[in-house]
Amino acid sequence: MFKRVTFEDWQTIVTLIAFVLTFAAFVFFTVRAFFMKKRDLDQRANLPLEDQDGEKSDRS
Amino acid sequence: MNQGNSPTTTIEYNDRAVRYFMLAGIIWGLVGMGAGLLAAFQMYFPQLNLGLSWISFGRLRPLHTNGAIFAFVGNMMFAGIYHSTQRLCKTRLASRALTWFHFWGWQAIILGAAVTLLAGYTQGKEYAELIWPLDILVTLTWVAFAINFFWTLARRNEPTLYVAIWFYIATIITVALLYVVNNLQLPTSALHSYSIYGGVKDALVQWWYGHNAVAFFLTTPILGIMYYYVPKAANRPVYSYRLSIVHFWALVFIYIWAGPHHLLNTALPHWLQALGMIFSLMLWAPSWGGMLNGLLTLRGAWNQLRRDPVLKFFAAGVTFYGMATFEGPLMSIRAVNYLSHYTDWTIGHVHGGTLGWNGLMAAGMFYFLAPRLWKAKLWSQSLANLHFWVAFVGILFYVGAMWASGITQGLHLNAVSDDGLSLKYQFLETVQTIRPLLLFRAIGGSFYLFGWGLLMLNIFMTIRGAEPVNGTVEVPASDVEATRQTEGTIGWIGTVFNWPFIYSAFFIFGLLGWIVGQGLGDAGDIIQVLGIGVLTLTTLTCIVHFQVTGRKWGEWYEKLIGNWIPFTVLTFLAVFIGGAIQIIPTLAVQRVKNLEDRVQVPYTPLELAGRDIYVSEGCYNCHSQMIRTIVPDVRRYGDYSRLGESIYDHPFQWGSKRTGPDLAREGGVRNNIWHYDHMHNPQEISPGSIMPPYPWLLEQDADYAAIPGKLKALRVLGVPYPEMTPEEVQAQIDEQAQGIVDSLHEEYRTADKDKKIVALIAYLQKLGTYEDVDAAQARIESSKVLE
Repeated sequence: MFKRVTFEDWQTIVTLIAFVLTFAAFVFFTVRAFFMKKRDLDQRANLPLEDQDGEKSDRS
Repeated sequence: MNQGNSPTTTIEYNDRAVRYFMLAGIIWGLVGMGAGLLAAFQMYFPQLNLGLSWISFGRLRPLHTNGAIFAFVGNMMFAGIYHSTQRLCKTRLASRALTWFHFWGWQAIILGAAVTLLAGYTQGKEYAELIWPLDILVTLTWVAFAINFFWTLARRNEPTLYVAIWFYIATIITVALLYVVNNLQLPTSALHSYSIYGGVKDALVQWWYGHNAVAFFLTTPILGIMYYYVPKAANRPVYSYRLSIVHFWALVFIYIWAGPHHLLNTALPHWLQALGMIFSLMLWAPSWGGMLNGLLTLRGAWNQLRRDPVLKFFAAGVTFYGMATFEGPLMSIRAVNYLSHYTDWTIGHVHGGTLGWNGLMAAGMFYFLAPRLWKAKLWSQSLANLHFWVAFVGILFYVGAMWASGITQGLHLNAVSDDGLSLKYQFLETVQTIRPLLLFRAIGGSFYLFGWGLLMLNIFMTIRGAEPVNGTVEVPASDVEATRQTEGTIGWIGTVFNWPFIYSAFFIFGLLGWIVGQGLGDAGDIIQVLGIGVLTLTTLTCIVHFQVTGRKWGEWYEKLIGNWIPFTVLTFLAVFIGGAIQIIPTLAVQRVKNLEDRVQVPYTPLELAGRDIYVSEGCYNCHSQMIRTIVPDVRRYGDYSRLGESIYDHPFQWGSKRTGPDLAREGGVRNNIWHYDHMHNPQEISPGSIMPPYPWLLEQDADYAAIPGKLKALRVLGVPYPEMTPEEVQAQIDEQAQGIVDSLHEEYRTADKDKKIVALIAYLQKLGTYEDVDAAQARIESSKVLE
């Protein structure tokens, strides 16, 4: 009768594991993102604008 | 990275492939949306099924969904990825052969899908209906795409990987993982197979796939496209590059866990339901962060929206992304899902995403690309603006109607008397109440499709007689050198065997020991102490190490984001762990020997033939087979569905929508005559029903010759069938079919025992039949199958 209870009890641990793993990774990448140098950020943010393909002149 | 006096090389992009993918996306968009519109009108006018099997709703709807997702958005996304990646990497696509194999392979898949789905060949899993030969072709084509993409990254002449590329990488590896895992199947013929998963396992894997198909096929590539094309169109950089980084990593780490929210209040174990709900709620933040980042990129350019249709489409598309990603987590709250699940609300939500987010972004991108790829001015700005407003009004009609319809359905079907003992509305009453809204939906869809026609006209007139051009770029030698240096600094081994990674791993293990040890008794205390010890030691060692050596933690990260191989490996790990933690325990544990209460009785050969017909006709598109653990469901359909009651269903048929009622306990509720007459003409038996007629089931023969092979395949998959010769199988079929035929003859219905209707009636009458676990275990032992 209690088979399901037993299985589900140990399986709930994975939700904790999931949370810890994702939260740790998320914090790491967020911290890195916020400590990036402004020069690097600007250079990366402008990458799509480096290539113009003569496109602006075609835009009406 | 342009360096002043460095010698340069001229590179010509392969924009021909971009043009082909773009035109394919436009044409398939018309087909996919056209199929959807016909299906929408069929719901209001069931006569539009015309009594033809190949355009009946159950077959048409998979064509619509697969067409919209894989044919329309797929081709659009490939056009955007190939166009932007070449420019962001300042290099030409690596392989001409792979590019064209990718293009023609994808179009062949779409054509194959259109033919087979309408002919009734399907796996019976939503958005994964394609039969196994097409699945193999999808895999090969995707591999060609992946090789071509990563090869292009390896040849790039820009040291930095822009965030759009990150989203493309996540798309490529995650879709590959999802598609292969969900489509593992055992073929029984050239056109038929059974999923290797059954019941709850299939449900979990399918919705892990289904949810993440939305996440990684309809969202992440389009976000990459947003991060490239919105800045291009507005001619200003993305609002916050920092935010785009957080957006990416948060989505990759969170999205993959949220699949079980499609199965709330069902027989799915509760820990998985909780996991799905919590991670869905966590998605709110990054999704809105990304949406705001996209919209704020237009800061200072809002005035351009008045005259520039491209920006209009992008701004509205990103806004719909925000709306859909607000609505999704909301619907993942169990209490809200109680109301929304199995109703038109879900359909409204999905179309807010596909028509609003994907469709408007696609239109914006096509209007942006056409003048550039053919070196011509857009034929008519006014027509593009008209397209925008027609499409926008169409979406509002569509989504508004579906919200109203879905909420009405939910409120009606869940309404019980105060004592909880009786229902307030019959199913057909609700159907009649929402019928006008179904018409509104179809009208909204007509608007949207009309708008698409305007786009086709505009693009056709733009490119007619114009000269196709390939973009070029001058690449300084210094950029090439800088790129090669970046690529060579970390490598495969350095990805994992470096101090930041190792310290992180120890830190997480320590933290887990501390948390998991709680409540595990004496052993748990030791685990906790060890966890705290590892945590403390790791932190102190880490601080001392970095202080003494003068190294910086961020060095590894900086190298990582410039190197596509380790970046890809870590992204893969992020999504793989998310999938594995959900799926592996379920695959391991959910077996008959671990079940309680009830276990499904395997289908007889005739019932199995009937089930295959049920799947082939796409009945799951309108009927669920899952009575949720909520009072109204139990009052309406019977005792709630147990996990074991579908354990032998390959594929599971829990469904996601109740256009018609649930059928989990249909067996024995109505007699054979009722089913016969109902399939022949539903409206005659159930006035007000919107179910299409299935006259061909009374005329076509079932394929009984294939049943022995199918039984053998199911035995391999663990369904406890005894070993039977083909003659024994046929004898069983004949006997059971004759019983049904006799019962029909008693009421003057003519039916031959070979007809599909007989097998289908046998199947419907079996639904809900179960036995206790001891009997089920004895059946397994006597059949000698390996569970």
